[in-house]
Amino acid sequence: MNTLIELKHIKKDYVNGEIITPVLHDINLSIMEGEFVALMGPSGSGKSTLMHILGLLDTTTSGEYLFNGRDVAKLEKDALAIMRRNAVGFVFQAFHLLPKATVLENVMLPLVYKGVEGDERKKLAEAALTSVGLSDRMDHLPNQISGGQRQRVAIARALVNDPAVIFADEPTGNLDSVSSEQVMGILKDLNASGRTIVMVTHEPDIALHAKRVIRIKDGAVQSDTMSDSKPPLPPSTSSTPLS
Amino acid sequence: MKLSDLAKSAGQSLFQNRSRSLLTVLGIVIGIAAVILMLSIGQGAQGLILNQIADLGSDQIFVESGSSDTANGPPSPFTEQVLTLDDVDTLRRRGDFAFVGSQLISQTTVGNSEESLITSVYGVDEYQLEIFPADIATGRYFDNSDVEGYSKVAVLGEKLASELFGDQDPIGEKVTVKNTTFRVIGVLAKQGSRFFQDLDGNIYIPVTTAQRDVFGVNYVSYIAARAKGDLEEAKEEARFILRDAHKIDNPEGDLAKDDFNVSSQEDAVQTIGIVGTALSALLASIAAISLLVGGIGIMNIMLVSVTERTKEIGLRKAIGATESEILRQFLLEAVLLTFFGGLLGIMIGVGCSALIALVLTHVIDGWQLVIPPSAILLSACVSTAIGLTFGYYPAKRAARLDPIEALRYE
Ligand SMILES: Nc1ncnc2c1ncn2[C@@H]1O[C@H](COP(=O)(O)OP(=O)(O)OP(=O)(O)O)[C@@H](O)[C@H]1O
Ligand SMILES: [Mg+2]
Repeated sequence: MNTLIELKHIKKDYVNGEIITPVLHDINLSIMEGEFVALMGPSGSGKSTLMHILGLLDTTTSGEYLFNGRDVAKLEKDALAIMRRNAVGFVFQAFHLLPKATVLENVMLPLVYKGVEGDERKKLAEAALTSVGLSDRMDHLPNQISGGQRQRVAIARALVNDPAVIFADEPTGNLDSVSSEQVMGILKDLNASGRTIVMVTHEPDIALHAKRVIRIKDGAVQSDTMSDSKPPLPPSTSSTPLS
Repeated sequence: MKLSDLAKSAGQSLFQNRSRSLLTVLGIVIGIAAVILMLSIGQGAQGLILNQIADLGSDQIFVESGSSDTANGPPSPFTEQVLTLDDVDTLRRRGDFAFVGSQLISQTTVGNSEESLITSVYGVDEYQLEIFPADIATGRYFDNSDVEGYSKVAVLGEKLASELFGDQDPIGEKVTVKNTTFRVIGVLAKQGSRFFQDLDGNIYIPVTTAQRDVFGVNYVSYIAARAKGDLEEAKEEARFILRDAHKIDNPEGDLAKDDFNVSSQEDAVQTIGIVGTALSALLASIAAISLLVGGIGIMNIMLVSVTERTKEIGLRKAIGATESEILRQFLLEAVLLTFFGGLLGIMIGVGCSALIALVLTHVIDGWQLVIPPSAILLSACVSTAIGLTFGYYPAKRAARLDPIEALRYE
């Protein structure tokens, strides 16, 4: 298995004028292809910040991020956008569906930017929606379906471009337990068919679905355990002498 | 992202806010309609005037009372009338003109036993038709003996003849001009209007009779002549002769010293050109201001739209839209908006021009609806350019949004 994600000494400060908020201090970790990782940690510990960096949506202050072996910091904005559309799927806690577009149109959107033809686009989107069990809701507007269904639409949108990895930031944060189980079932199935999943969650029983749990505290990795009772990995997987 | 998808998404978002789109684009619509209307009317008027001048011939010169200062303004009732039939004679004798004619023009009552109306009375001589060509429908025109002999004979315009006599033949009938009775000897063929004056309602009588028996004056309103050779030389010659006749010591040729003014159609064309240019400039600046205000409106609404759709932009960027794709989307929205505004403006402008032409053809003979194709092309280009210009800044703002911050925007 290849290493998909490698973080070395990642540091992230938010800068708003004079105010500098340090969030991530020294994150070192690597994620292999095909893993199912749950990121946990107290509120404000920097999980979402880390996810945005992983998902190529935000930049680091310092440190090295290799995605599929490529140094992300060296990529232009456009190259990042193109990597996002081709290799990454993102599921947000707040769904972020376009309110005036139908379920199908929402799922087709990433393919529009990818330049996929109309017919092919529709076929792929329908397949993605079928795989999350929403083949009968395609022409609905987002406000005409339930929260759990919306999140499944968001997952369909994240997987429609066949990404190497899906990042899900609290995908069940707004859902009841039945919907949460449905969503987790879908993510597990996706992982079983070989897709890498990185997920943030607060809930321990949701984290149980993952094969590996990484705990973040105060902007650093606190623990990193394989859930199938293998011995825990050291917090830092990369053995760089500088640290 | 393919262009067809881009156009579809831009069109959709405009359609979803259609009433707002329409209101936003109103400034452009009005501006473009004004441009079309202005060019159409301007060209129509110019065409009409130039046609009439061409009809008339361009070798006519006119002499009227008053120095060139006062002559440029509208005719003033306070100008001392200094031109007489002696001046006409002098010009004929001493000058080298093809024809010299006299005109005494005034408004007064004209009637017969049944009708009475107020119209323009032209006191003229036998050279009138040589200078202002017109066809004679029936009867004859004045000859030298009519003028020399103070004859009480009249020639009617086509419209006046039918107003006074209906279908009846007016030749030999009597008409009264003010208090003097004339015998009709001829009727002119229909001439239409010239410089917005209806010529067919006029009555023509010998200038001598007009002076002595009708108006009791000894001046003429105009002396009209046709030059043989160079127009400017002919004008200069007329000035020279009249200065001598009026005993004006003006060897340096200062026009302000003269008590008369010599002009030609060419001068009129120039004046019309200047007035036309000024009018066009005025209308053009109104149109430009309207388009500028319209453009600012577009910019404003596009900024509002970008702010409203911050989340959408964030999401589009998160799923892989590049900056230039976002830029193009918003720019295209602005351009579509102004382009369709421009189209609407063109349609309204053409419609209004046609309507005005429809009305004007009844009032002014020979008015034609002219829609210069260049005006339509210009309007389409201008409206597109406005979209590009005023849409760029909002689109750039949208393109530069940070995806995470945009998604977090409430
Ligand atoms: N744009 C920003 N500017 C300044 N500080 C920020 C910004 N975004 C996040 N932070 C700060 O960074 C820290 C980490 O935020 P983050 O959203 O990553 O936390 P989290 O672990 O996802 O929390 P939660 O579990 O509540 O979602 C917080 O203290 C937050 O205040
Ligand atoms: Mg978070």
